[in-house]
Amino acid sequence: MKNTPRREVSLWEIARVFAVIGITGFGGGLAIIAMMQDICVERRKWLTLEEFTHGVALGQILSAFAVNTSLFVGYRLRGAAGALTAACAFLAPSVAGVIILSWLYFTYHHLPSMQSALHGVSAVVVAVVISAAWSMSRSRLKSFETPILAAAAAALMLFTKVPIPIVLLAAAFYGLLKLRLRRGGANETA
Amino acid sequence: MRRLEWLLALPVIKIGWMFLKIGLLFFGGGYVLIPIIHRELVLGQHLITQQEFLDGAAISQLTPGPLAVIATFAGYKIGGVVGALVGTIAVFTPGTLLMLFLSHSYARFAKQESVKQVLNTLIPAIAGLLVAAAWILGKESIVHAPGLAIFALSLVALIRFRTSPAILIGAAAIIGVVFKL
Repeated sequence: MKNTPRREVSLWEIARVFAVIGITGFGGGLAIIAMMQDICVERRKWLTLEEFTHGVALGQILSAFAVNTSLFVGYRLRGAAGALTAACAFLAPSVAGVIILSWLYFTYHHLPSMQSALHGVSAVVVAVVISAAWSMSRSRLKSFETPILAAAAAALMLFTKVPIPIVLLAAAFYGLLKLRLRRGGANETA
Repeated sequence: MRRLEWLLALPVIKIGWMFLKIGLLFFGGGYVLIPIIHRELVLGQHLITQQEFLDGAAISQLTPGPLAVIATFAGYKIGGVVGALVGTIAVFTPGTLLMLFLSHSYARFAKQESVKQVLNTLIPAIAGLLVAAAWILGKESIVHAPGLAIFALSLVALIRFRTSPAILIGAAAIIGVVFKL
């Protein structure tokens, strides 16, 4: 890709674009990332596809990656102020929506028809959680360790009171230990 | 010291502090918040009930925002609109700071062997925690055949056809009302 001369993008423009994504980006996760790519890379040419892909990869490592991708794009354009503007603009419509829905929920959830509606919905939420577990570990199923680690973590959560941070730290530590041992064994330089 | 205790007793500060701690663990796709918030707020401090937690997760999936906006819902229950805003800001703060730092020098981190290796063991553990959370939630909420059918169909739709959760939640709500589940 050519080195596109980067013009100064105003914070207001960043806010507008990400608010539009935050309002219309239904469909979650990847659908939103695709939308951001279309708007920020293809149409507005704010950053190159390669840069954008790096941002998505980083975002996936960390938390909710649509928010992180917004932070990354905003940061590339206008530093920390751009990052915060993009993330806040992206989240604001959802947060406003959740507050309104929460108010409706806590006001009316005792109504019989609301109860009926919510009964079916709970089953969907459980399915969403399972499918999230599946989609994040599927690409790692080639390794025999993946199901063992998953089963160990699940057992710790179900049958013991070990705090979740400890479970996560132990898994991360095990990964580092393996790397250390492998490096020590092969004596390779990084 | 005394003044500090008084400060911590304020609901708003309490919500902020609680979600800040939760936000520190906020990596791995955001879904790790499900087991963490469930354990902290439902089992630990009994601030929201299991049913409210499930319904809140559904509400958060209705918006384009990430699942983490369940912090908005939980904050609303505990402290109204102010609680919702404080909870949301707090839960996103640690991850945002980290992402700002990483954006600054991203090329170095994305290719690090140690980052990849940690993810190789961390992500399966997160997936395991999610399955355990789904078990705890499902055991009490999927009690009859229609629920089981909705669960199975949703799972197929989500994994096989990549249907948006918001659509499934809307459909399940309509089915619930029509068939009086």
